[in-house]
Amino acid sequence: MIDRPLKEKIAKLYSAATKISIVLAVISIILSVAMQTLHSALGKADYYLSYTAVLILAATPFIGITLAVFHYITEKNRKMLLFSVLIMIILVAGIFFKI
Amino acid sequence: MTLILLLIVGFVTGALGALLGIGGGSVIVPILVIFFNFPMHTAVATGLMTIVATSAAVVPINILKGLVNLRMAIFLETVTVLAAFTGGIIGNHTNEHVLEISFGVILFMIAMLYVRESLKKSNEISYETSSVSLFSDSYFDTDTQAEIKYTPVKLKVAAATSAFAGFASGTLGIGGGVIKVPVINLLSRVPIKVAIGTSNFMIGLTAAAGSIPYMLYGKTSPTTSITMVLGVIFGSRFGASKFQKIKDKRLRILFAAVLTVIAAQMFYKGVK
Repeated sequence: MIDRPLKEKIAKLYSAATKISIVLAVISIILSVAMQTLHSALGKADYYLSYTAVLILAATPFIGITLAVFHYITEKNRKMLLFSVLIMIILVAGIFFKI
Repeated sequence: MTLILLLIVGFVTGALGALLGIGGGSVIVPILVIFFNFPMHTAVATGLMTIVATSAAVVPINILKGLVNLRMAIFLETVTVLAAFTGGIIGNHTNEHVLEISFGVILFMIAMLYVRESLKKSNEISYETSSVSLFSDSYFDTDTQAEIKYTPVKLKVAAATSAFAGFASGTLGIGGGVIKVPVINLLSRVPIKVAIGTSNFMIGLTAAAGSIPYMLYGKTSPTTSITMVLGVIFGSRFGASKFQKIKDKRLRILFAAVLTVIAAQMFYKGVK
């Protein structure tokens, strides 16, 4: 298997993101149930926690791929780097201008 | 009660997704539309988030087993991510019935591809081992107790097909694994376990890119998504732990059967 150190880093990143998401999801579900039964005035806490968990999950693959790209920079693989940077720019521009 | 049902559906589809290398979106989207009466766009957004969760849960296991060809995944994803983002924008502006019918038709075509492969007398695929390229890799197969070396071929065609899968992912809320796995396996001549592992890694990025437009247009339901995600994460880990125990041919037959049923249901819902 090639790129073992990089693969270990990515595995750690994904594991951490999954664990954080699980914790946030459990808290969010408990809050959601509590708010329904107790009519609590906690506002939209469960919504924001859910949204945070969703955003963490959505960001994880992008961070993983960025890690990989930085790893490959050391091998001077410029084509791969330029493609990835281009995609990032287009995605960020898309979000910024609300296409 | 709905909460528990969503958790159960998430668990089952997560396990199925890990076994078959699909994100589970192709199962979750129709279930949310048919049984939970979700609007198609919200179901698609939820499907995409659960795909990201399936991928996130399975990647650490697969990548350490050597079942993810990282270089090939990055190469294929360069075009796939852009296509998924575009698909997400177009999907937001498309009529629900059109999306449902398209969903049914595409899934049926993929199921037929798998049926054809399963009916072949031999499912053995000769792996390219004579040449070595930037994308060459190997993994230890626990079934044969041997190190399997391979070199992916026809990567440009695979990238084009993967881009189509990305577009379908963003538009219809499927991970695109249903298209990527056969392409990587049959066209690029990569062992099925690596094809599934690599696809699982790729669909996370594809679905994350596809979900961005839905977040921008406010079509997501974070609470529903995260409930299903919780089920999916545990289901995926369960599925991944049984991963190497299932034979290749049985995988394909199971895959085709599931897809045919779902395709018929979605098509019916679209034309009703």
